[in-house]
Amino acid sequence: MKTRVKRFLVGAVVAVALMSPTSSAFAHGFETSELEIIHPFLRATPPGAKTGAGYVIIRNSGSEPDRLLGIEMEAAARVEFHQSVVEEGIAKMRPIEGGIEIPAGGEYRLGADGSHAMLVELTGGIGLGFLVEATLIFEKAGRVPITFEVEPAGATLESADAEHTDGH
Amino acid sequence: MATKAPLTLRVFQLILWSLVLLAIGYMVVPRFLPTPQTPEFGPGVPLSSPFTLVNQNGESVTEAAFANKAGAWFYGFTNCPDVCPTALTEMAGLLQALGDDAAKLNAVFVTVDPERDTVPVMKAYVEFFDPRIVGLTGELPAIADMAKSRFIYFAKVPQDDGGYTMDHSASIYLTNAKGEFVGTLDAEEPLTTKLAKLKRLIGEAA
Repeated sequence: MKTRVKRFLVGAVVAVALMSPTSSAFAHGFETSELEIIHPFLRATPPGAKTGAGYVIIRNSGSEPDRLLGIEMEAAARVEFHQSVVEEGIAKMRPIEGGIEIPAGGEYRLGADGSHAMLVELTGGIGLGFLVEATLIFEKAGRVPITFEVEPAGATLESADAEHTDGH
Repeated sequence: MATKAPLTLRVFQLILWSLVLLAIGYMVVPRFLPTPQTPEFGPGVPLSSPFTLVNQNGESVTEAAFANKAGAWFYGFTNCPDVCPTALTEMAGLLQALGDDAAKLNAVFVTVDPERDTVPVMKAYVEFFDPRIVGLTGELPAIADMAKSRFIYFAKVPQDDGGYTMDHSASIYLTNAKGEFVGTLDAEEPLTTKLAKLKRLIGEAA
């Protein structure tokens, strides 16, 4: 009798743990000696989608700025940095030229102010809950392998940040 | 017999008088012509112009399919990774929040990139967000006519990689059951504000 109760309890705990979304259950990040790559995520895409979007916060504890030059992943033919802006009611998307500077002692929030990594020519669907391997290429820190988590299609840096907040 | 001025002079006079008459004509005639309508966009403006497009099931649909029902209309394109999924996610979230009342609302996504957004692409796209969203595509001139008559701007913008992106009106446009524009849902508004707007809209329509 007792063991059955125990088993039930263990089962219940495991079930609850499994039900909670993995993306919010654990903080998720990557580090180099200078850079902290915080919760990189992609938006889930509709089946057959050709494009996708990625977001990440990069913090630089070093005394020199670094520059994110590109992102490589097997899931897309290429990744471009773009900014969506709304001007007088018109949504526009423009490339961010020359990479993204990560200021010394500061951070860059890819996802703030309409900025995003645009995944072009997806090689397959990006389903909710997938883990997508990629390499961030920095001017100084070099190639940094990371894993993007896949969040719902409407996820934003803010909604993701709220779940992964470190208190700031 | 009066002496005639030399022929060249008479021709010159004739030209001058013609110019004077033309100038007077330009000034006077427009007053008698009906002034072209330059419609101001704002609440009450009808957004129910006729169109023939194709829905995500490949069926031909006209404006009649959306008559007598409040509507939330968004114009975008499926190759848009940032703004459009945000808008459609919002639309889906609002439909969900409305529950059964969602049936009182037309939720419509019109592509401004019909070249790439074919019927199967539209089907996969809208159903990914919410199958209650109607996706409309069609021939480019039909889309362009509809957009123009509904005050929607869009333009193709070539990109360095050889592809292109689309500039397009960003908001979700709300119409009442008479097909008149009543306002927009803007990305910055909290969900509760948007939901209140929709509830008011379908409340009026009922």
